[in-house]
Amino acid sequence: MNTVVRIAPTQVDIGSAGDAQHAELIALGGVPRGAVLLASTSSDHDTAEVQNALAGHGFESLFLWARRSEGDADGYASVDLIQAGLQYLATRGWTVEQVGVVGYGRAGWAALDAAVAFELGAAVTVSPTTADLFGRTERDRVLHAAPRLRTPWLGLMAGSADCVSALDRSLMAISQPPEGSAYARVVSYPEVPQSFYDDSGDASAHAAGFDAWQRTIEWLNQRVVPRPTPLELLWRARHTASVDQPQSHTVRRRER
Amino acid sequence: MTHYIDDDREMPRFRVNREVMVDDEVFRRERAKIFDQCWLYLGHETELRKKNDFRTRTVGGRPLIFFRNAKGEIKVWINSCPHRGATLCREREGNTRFMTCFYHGWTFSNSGDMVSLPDDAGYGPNYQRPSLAEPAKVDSYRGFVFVSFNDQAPNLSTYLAGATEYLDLIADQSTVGMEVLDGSHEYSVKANWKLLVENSYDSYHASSAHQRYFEMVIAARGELKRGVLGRSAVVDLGNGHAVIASIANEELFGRPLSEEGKREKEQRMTRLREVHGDAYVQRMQGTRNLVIFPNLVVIDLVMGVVVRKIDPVSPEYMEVSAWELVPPEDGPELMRQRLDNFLTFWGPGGLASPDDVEALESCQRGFAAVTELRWSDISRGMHKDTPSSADELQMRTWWRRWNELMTGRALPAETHSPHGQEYFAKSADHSAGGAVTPS
Repeated sequence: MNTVVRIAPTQVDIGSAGDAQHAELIALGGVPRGAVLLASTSSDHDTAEVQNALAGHGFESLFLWARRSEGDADGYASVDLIQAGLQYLATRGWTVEQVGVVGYGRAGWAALDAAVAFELGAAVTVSPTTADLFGRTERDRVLHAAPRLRTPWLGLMAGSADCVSALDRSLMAISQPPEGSAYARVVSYPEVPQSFYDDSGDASAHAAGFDAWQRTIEWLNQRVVPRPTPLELLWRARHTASVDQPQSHTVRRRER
Repeated sequence: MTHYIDDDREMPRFRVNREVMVDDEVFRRERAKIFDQCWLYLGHETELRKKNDFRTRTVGGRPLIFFRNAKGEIKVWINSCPHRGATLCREREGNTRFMTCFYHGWTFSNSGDMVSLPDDAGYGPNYQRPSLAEPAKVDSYRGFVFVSFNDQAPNLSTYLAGATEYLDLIADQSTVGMEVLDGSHEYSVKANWKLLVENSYDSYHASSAHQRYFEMVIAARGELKRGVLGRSAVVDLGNGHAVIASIANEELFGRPLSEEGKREKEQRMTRLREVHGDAYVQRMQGTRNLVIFPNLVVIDLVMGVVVRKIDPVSPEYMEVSAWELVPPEDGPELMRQRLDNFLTFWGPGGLASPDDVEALESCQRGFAAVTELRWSDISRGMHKDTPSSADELQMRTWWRRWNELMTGRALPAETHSPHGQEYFAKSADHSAGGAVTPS
């Protein structure tokens, strides 16, 4: 018999006393793989379902409603919101490298901004709206952020009309030296609704949502630093103390 | 004379026993005596542009992961989980900080450390967690990254010997550093890998096997100047490496450049002359086919630099990978023309490579009669005072090194008069110089 376990998120308060806001936490026992800050602006989005799916991959998660704020390009307090979430996760022992940020809808820009502001494990933007309050398009925002990224960033974009072109993706990939900005990747899903990540029953949206979820989990697993187990910490302490450990080869640049 | 090589200096004549092209035991010995001992080309540093970028490659029969780790350092790992051996990284290329083995879920960082062991209580507190394995040696020269599975191998610059001068000549073609373009040509040939080594610096076959290509060049340019094929040199670079080189000759290869392409090229050449001096840039504008023993080919010809890695799979089957190395300061028009040439001349469906593949497979079919026809001839130019690239000194140089490693017996090098100084002009750029430090 197949039993589906569903965890009900716990409401927690994050932020300072004067500026506290509610957030939804799914905490895991044992040694979780990592933590994910989830942000969304869509009230229709079943974020508890996403949090449960993340738990299935070993990630604790904290869901934040991105709320409107004066002075922010999107009308949402993006980086401040993420920072408050990071501070809360720090109280649970998570370092920034052990945290991934996933933003849906307009909150996807919060994930991109956080990727510029912090050295997180990973960041994913899923289907942000096409223009911000200043009229900047997805393409404008991505190309503006790309050279300054400190966190590896994945953009999963709906529609084809104004998506980042293949040429722009190439430029993003080759224009920076290794010591420059973090790796970025954009995937476009043509002809799907903006809310493709919420399974609507439409076949193309369902396929796009499935693909986007697979890519999101893979992106997190490949980059979020795993939390070590007690046995691993013990081993690391022993390993570091040993003076006889062989050093791996590192290639130094050679000029003539 | 050895079992494999008939090196008759009196006639003179040089022959190779065709058994070495078909025999399983020879193939097995090549793995042990050559590929387990020499430095082998892995890839170019510029293929890994971002931190955490990787490429998976097969080198010397081993699966490897070529990484730029989270600190930006180049690392090379054996692509096999230390647990039970499954391939750890199953993509040809990508970007990742961590790799999780799909079999049991062991996870390693791109710095080689184990970072996660599922249900590690099952191993106890004293269990020594394995790191990823790596080749015995890894090093690079001017961006070309090599590995060796022999911990007693000499340092890379010693191994490369005179070939460093020709890698310099290629690397110096950009003031900001030559870069490998994204993408590669991947193809296979039903022939022994050594045939493609020979072919890669065999000028003698050009006008017969690549007749269609020269017809295209003549159609594009109107004519081919007489005698352009003969102005060339062969240089034994030591350790089995050799090069064939010509002095600057824009009439011979490729479609004529557009006016915009000529302008872009001249701008770059002007900058290079300021750095390196006229004589060196004149030499740079020539052509060269370089083979670094045993299986790396660097061909600077037909408007582009091709880096070709030849991987033996069985005595009668090889796999080939090729990349295009370009100066990134080229403008869009010259880049377009370079890419066109890379595709139309060097590509698996181009005007040259299919001819070569057919020629090599044809040879291999002929080797089925090795009992009746035992020897292949590589004598051309042995009697000459100064052999040219249309001769076969470069191949004999390679074969003598091959024979030495396989049998332990060194055959003496040939003696010829040196070529003119125009083939050896040095860079005036003393500021960029400096000794190569050993690893």
